[in-house]
Amino acid sequence: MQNKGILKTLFFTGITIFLFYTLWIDNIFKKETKEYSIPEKYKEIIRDHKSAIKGRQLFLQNCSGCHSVIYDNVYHSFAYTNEAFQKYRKEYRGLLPRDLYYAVFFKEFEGLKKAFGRIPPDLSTIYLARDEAYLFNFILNPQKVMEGTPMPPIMIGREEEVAKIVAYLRHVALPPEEEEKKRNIMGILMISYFIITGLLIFIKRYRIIKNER
Amino acid sequence: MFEKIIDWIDERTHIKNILRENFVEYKVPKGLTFPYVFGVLSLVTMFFQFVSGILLSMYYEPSIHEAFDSVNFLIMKKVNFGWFFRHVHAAGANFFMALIYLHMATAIYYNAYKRPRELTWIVGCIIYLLMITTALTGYILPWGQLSYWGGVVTPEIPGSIPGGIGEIIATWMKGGYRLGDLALGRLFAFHAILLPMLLTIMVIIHLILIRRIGVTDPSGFERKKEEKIPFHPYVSLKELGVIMWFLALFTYFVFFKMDKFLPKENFEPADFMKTPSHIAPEWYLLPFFQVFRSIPDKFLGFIAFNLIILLLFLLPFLDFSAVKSARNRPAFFVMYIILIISFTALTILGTLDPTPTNAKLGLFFTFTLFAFFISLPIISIVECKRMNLEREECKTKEF
Amino acid sequence: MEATRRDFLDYLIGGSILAGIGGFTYPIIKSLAPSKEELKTAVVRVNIKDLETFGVKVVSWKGKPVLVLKLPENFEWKGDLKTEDNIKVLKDKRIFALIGICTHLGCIPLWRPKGDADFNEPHLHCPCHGGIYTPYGDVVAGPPPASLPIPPQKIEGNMLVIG
Repeated sequence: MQNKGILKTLFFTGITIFLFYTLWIDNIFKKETKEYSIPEKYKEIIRDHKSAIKGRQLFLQNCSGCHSVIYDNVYHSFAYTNEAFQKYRKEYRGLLPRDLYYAVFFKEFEGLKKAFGRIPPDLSTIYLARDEAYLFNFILNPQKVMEGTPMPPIMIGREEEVAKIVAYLRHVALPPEEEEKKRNIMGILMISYFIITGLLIFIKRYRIIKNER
Repeated sequence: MFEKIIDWIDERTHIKNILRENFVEYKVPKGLTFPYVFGVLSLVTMFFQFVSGILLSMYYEPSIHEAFDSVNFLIMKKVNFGWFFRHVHAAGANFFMALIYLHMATAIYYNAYKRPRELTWIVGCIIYLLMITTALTGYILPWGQLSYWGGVVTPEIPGSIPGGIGEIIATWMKGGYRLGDLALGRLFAFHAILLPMLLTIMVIIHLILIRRIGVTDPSGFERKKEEKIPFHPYVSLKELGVIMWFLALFTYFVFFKMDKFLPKENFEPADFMKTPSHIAPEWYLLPFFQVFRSIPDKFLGFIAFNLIILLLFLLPFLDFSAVKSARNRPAFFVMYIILIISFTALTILGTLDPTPTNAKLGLFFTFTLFAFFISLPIISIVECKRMNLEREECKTKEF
Repeated sequence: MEATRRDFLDYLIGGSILAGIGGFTYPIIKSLAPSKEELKTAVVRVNIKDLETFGVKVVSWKGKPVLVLKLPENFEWKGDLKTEDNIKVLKDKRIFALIGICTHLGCIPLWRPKGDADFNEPHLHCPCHGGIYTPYGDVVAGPPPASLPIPPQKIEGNMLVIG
């Protein structure tokens, strides 16, 4: 009888953990093929928060003709000479609403749409939406990754600069470095707090039961 | 001083009595097993959902132009701890659903839906439906690619009702032919006001019913009050301790493992001209999704998964014999394991690509899932026969 | 011995749960407080190099309108005053900032450098109920009960730093 109980417990615990492990941590049934890779050297550049500063300059030089990073106040290069834009930008200190931005530059965006088929997307959250290796390879040679994409291959053979641009996109999408550290410490503190408090409560309960016997 | 204030309040509200009645004089059976804590854990998670939800709703803007940026810029970057509340809310939604499923599985195992707890079970099922609706509406609000296409695809499911009715329902759900500002405002009101209100009312009714009638004895025999133990301090301390350890696990996900709760694709603003490469519902709908997908005919699939929900409500009447707890019912225990395995299998199949083998497996587990429900009246009849009791007697026998 | 140990455990659990509640409310309160962006606007720098004599610049500081005024070297207020708080502080200053919220009912006073029909001296005139202030912000006439408040300020080279 005792053995049966243990078996039951094992079965139900096992199947619960199995289900949620598959759903929330790693789906072992679904083989995710890694299609793209980055050389180790460039990975380090991307991870380095310092290369983001250079990446921003490179972005302004090479990409801001078509793409914006509105979360970092980087708009299309045609925007900066517009008076109405300058005024709105000051009024909306944090972020210029997208619809307003598109309305101010309606003519320019229509031009981009005509040239590329669609408005090139804003890249504020692109690092979170795609993985690093995909971005690196895509910027390096768009046609190789996505055939028929309207993005022109302007960065061919400039791996280091591409890595810096990816580093910049990463910097914009993720919280700042010191903030990240603070969050990790906060997380560890909270987890240990809950574990210790839980332990104290169980000790208390154990004592109550022992005293009554 | 403090004592005096308490006394003053007590004189007017009898708060001490209420607390004593509900915590000390409230007796629970001895030997409650671990799964009994899933109920209180989901209550705790609901509390965290409410707090984080209120804070998020302060900054969220239900407009198709602003929604994405209000979530990903204002909340994630500008507001102090906005990221924390978003993470808690997103992870909390998943944990809440998980706990509800575990809670239901526990209730089914110990036959907690049987007389006199039928209403507790039915109210619980209503809570489950409200939860699913809340989760679905909340999923659309951040207005990323997955949100938008989730919002587009969901109304298609009732859209499979033939005769033009489905189309009317689908249009009505979307608030127009295209999912737009109207729908978003409506969904926000549902998600933030109407559904939580209904949910709160239902949860209160659920709790009152539990306090009035008490929890099921895991052994399946209703014991007298003298044989039971007071809720406080034995069970309350255990639950508090488990809550703490549960929160430790929850915090781990909130801080270090959010990639499944905030999926990559949803960090791209909604684009109504471009469908994401693979879209599947959130995991808690996958069993229904898989049932819907495995059955070749769309309308039949729609009926099948609605039937599952209906059968869930009817569980106390399908399984009518008075024998309780899977411990005393070997046949039920076997069927229960089949239920758990088919549920798990359907969920996991739902995450995979729809190959022909997967569809066949899906169909097989759909049948086993229905087999569980169909077997219940048969098991009940056999049990009544064995005890040599008439149907009515068998329903009301006390153990 | 047993009893004291149990008491100690109770205090430990109680304290730890209190700490938990405190820890939980901290992010809530913090999230309601102004963000870092917002705090940056609590210090405003005004370029005073191109400010003309009798000129005014209106800036926003902590969401309030602030008037930056420049008076000539030999300026002196002649006449009666109803309140005298500001002149004591600002007498020697030629460039200073005042919070432009009328102490009567919160309108924004207008700067009249050459005076107007009613009052022939440079003054601040509140259009709502006709309150009149000296350029230093003291009340001359009208309903306002007190002088205009002075924000914390200091001059750093060509900049007037408010806040």
